Amino acid sequence: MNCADAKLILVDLLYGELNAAEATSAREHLAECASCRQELARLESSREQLNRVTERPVRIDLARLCLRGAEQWERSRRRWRRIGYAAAAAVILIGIFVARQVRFEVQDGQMLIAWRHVPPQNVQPLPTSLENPPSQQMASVDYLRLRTRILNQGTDIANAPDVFIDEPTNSPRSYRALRDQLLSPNQ
Amino acid sequence: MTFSDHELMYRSRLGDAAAFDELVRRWESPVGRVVARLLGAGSDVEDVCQEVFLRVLRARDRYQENGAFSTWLYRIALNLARDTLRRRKRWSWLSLATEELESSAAPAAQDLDRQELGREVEFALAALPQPLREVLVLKHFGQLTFAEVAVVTGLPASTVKSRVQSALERLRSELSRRGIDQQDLPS
Repeated sequence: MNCADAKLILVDLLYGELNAAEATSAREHLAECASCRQELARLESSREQLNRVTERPVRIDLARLCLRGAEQWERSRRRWRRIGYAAAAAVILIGIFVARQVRFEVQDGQMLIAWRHVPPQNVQPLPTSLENPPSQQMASVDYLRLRTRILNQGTDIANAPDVFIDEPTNSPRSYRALRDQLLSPNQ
Repeated sequence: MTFSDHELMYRSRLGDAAAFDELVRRWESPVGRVVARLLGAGSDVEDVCQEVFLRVLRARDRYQENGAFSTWLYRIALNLARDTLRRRKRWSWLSLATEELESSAAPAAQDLDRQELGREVEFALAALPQPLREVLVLKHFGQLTFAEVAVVTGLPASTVKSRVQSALERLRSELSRRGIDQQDLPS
């Protein structure tokens, strides 16, 4: 064993964690090496100092421990109950909000789910020609319904008659205006 | 009849209050010793110890017998001590730094009686960087093997050994800095 190897196991030797063969080998090296011997003596001396630290016995009060445990348990139970109430209230509020905002409709055999941006009462009848472009944004559900119909029927809106009758509202609408609206950045 | 720690935990899980009491009595001193040295001076040692056993009590249903009970217990103690030190550091601006007060008074070794020497060693230990102090305290005051300290701290065993060695060397130089020549200390 050389000094480099010995230095790596000095603490093991100090705390008696070497096996018999390793300890013998280390002691043989120490017998010949004053530097390592000195190093071990220094570590031993520091370790001895630690034994001078005054002991302050700690006594756990079991009654207090149980009381504190019960208090913590009760506090945690109350906290989880409060969190539960808050979560339930949040779910109910979100449910009400969503139910008021989303419209479900079946159109041409397809289920339409749409977010109501504009209340239906604000939707005004569309103009009948391109000369009178729509002044008001159509409700999203109307866009979706019409887009679905155009796609289903394969209508080529470039060559289609400009005005068609929208069945649900029974009012005339302009395909071109509709196309412009569908292609506009807001869509 | 003496039960092992695992057996006591198992009995405590089944509702045997005496088993938990015995476990606390068996471990309160070793845990107290380690926590006191990890925290240094301060009045919260008993509170932290109480919290350690409270966590043991709360975790008894989840406790699994893999590894030594002592390493599991010391890991809880180490984590709580780290939390306490972090909290102390956060609030340290409210009080004077005790460490500075202590280091300003370095009495000559010949004037020190045994109790004062113990306190000086304690201050020197508290002055070690936390990573070094943790491994040294667990090794020396917790009387764990290097492998067990590695399990508690989550460090490789080789790192633990080198840190213990560095800690002992730093302790020696810290004591010299405080005017304590180790040759002069009463045995």
